[in-house]
Amino acid sequence: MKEKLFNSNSLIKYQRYSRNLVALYFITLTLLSATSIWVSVEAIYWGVVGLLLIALLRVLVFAHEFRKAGLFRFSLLSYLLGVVILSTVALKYWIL
Amino acid sequence: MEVLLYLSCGLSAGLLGGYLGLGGGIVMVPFLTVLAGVDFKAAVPVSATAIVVNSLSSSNEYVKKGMADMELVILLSVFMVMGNITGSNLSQVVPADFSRILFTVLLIYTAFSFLKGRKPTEKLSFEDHRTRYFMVCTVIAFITGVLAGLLGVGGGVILVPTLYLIVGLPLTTARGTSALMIGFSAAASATVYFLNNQVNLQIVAPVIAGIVVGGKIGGRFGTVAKPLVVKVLFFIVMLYLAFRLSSESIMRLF
Repeated sequence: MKEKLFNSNSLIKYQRYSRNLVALYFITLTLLSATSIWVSVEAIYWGVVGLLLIALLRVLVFAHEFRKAGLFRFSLLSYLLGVVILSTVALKYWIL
Repeated sequence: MEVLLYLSCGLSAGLLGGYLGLGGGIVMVPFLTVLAGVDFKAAVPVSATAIVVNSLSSSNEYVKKGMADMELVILLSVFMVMGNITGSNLSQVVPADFSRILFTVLLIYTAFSFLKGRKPTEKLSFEDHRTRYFMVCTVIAFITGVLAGLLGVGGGVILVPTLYLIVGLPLTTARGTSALMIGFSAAASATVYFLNNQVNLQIVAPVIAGIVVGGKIGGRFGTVAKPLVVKVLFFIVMLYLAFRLSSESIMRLF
């Protein structure tokens, strides 16, 4: 099975660290606002920016792992996915 | 009090979404609109942003146990996102009532087929039919994307049954693959909403805090879930979605 060549350890690590970071950041913000401590909207804003970047950068983790596994077509396909997502955003935001 | 409500919204969406390999939008949007009184137009962008987190959180549990097909994730995601763009553009041309009723019929049929657990007539295997396997998968992903874009629903509820019934993937692999995939399409939608300043930042923070925890727990339980429980839950979710989609259109017809 070719898929066994894909080493998912990097993806697991990347997702685990990102999840922990997101959890820590947003749980802290929620606790602060629940205890009536003023929370800047900018803090949430940059949190969401970071979150979206984490999600989009996941494509690069896939591309890297496929390349390492020798699955070059899938590596290219991962980059294509990144291009498609960014084009979708550009199309919907700037054109439509 | 409101914060607790948003937190529990994220938590419940994460639990169900993670368990079934869905994004959780099917829980979040009704929860926010009906229970929390949030406007529908504000609930959808919050839901899309939270789905990105749910994918990160729940899919890891499936990936750890080898229950996600990485090649399929990338291949299907490309075509699903493309289908999504096509679908959302088509929605401006195709009458909404027509597509909703058509999709309702399809959902009800799929719900019953899924519950029966009908085996695919010909199970496609990667080794024997590599080209055909990928062709079928890309067509399915594109159609799923078109339907999701046309109706404004997440792809997971369509994708998991199709991967199971048509492609012949095991139920856990179908859910794991879907859990990873939905993150990509949700990221695209969430970015657009965010750039248009449509994401309510006061609501999104507690929802994310809830879904990141719920998704992890849901994903963990999802990897050891009994197929019958998953099928029954999916059956309920699909019938519920069918009801939600068609109720307004049917009321308008009569």
